Amino acid sequence: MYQINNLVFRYPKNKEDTIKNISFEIKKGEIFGLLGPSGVGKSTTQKILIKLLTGYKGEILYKGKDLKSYGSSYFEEVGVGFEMPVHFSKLTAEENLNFFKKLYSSTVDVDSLLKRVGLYDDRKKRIGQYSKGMKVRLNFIRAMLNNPKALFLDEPTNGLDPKNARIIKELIKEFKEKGGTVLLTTHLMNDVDELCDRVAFMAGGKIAEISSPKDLKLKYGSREVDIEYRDDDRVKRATFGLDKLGANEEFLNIIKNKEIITIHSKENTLDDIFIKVTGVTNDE
Amino acid sequence: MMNKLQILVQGELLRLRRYNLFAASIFVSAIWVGILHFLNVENVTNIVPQLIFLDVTTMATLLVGVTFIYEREESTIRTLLVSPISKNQYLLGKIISNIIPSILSLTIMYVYSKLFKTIEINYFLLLGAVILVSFFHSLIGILLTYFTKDFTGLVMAIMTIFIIFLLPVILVEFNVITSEIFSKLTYILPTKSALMLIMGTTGTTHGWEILVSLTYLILGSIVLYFIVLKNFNSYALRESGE
Repeated sequence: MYQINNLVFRYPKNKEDTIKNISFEIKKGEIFGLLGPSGVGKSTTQKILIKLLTGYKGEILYKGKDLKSYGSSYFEEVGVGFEMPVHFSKLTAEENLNFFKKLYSSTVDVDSLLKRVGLYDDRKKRIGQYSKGMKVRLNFIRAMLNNPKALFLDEPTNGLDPKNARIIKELIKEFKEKGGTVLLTTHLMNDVDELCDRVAFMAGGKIAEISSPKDLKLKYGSREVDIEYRDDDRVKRATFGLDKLGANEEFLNIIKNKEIITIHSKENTLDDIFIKVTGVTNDE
Repeated sequence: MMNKLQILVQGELLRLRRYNLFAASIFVSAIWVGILHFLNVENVTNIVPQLIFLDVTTMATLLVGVTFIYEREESTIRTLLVSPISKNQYLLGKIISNIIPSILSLTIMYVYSKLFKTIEINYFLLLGAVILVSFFHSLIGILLTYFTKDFTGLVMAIMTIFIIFLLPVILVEFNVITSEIFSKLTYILPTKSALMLIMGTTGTTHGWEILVSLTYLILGSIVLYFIVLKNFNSYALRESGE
């Protein structure tokens, strides 16, 4: 869907490049996570891909054609979900959506989406009366309004309660199942784990790591299993290598004869990988 | 599918209503009507264009600026920038919808004058002048918002512009300053052209003055439009969170 080759970008007032020669691909029908701490260039990359920033070096192909060759009709195919609320506060949700809907040649069934995210009954309320969570959900509908082929989502579940976050994640998965492509930017590694087919970690304007969450966990984790068990009323702990685990007599003896308290494989979480790869903590 | 410019204009007009900007504009019109009412003058042919001149030059600059500030403060500019509309459609949508309150103001004053006073001006000539002057001043308003950070900054910028552009013309028009050199110098100001064009509808202005004013405002609008268009990219870059 997108092919990014040797992308370099510098803001006019800066002395240093914000994006330093990055190359990657976003495949059609995948959910691609662009991750990293603040200020490493992930928002800049996203802004370039949604044509808010121009003047970059390198090449970006969208469906095999230079991104620069697309005019405003590009936005017929692209949906953008911003992190902050982007609606007219003195208009109702329905008026906001109707206004933007009329700008597109193809649109989704808005009422059905409003019902899914639980905003249908509040559609005639002014946005000024909406809570933060309601605004976030409305942002998602705004992004989906034109039935896009590519969806850019920035922190789509930030500020949502678990129930509504679940609904949004289900909708993202459904969008993918119908062939849609997603570029997801988030700090919530649980969302990444659950949604993303591949992720790229950015650090210092470069891509530090790119792979599937599963492969990254294997790469950065230990191929070991930790067991906590009870032996003569005492809690004991043991670690075994995953290779030929089924033939490990000591391991087999424990799981056959002892009371197991916990058992965990020792692959890293994406949070751990985030810190290792980018060199910073997740909330930085 | 409805024409996108038409959709943008309709959207702007709805927002002008909801954000009470239409109400503000009508309130100002009511003040002008109040002035006409309490002036002990039966024939208001010369007074109405003067009031329209004040209304159009101030309100057109202010209203468009306020709509830009609202879009900026509510981040709606971001979502508009990723919509399938061109820069020209966006800007023209803003300008066209900004002209409508000026037309409304003109119509209120004109209808009042026709009903309760005497006015000898062709409404449509006045309408043409108002559209051109409002178009020009809407562009000034947009340009000012490019360089101001918030509402206070916008008001300060508009005040500065008024002192430089509007005040000298008013002082000459109302004979507060009678110096001929000063009067001639005001011809370089776009507000002088706006006044001459609007007053031209009363038939008291020389033909050459109307022609010069018309040329000044049309050429000025074209040049200003290209400046506004050219600077839109850097404005959009800033508003998209550079």
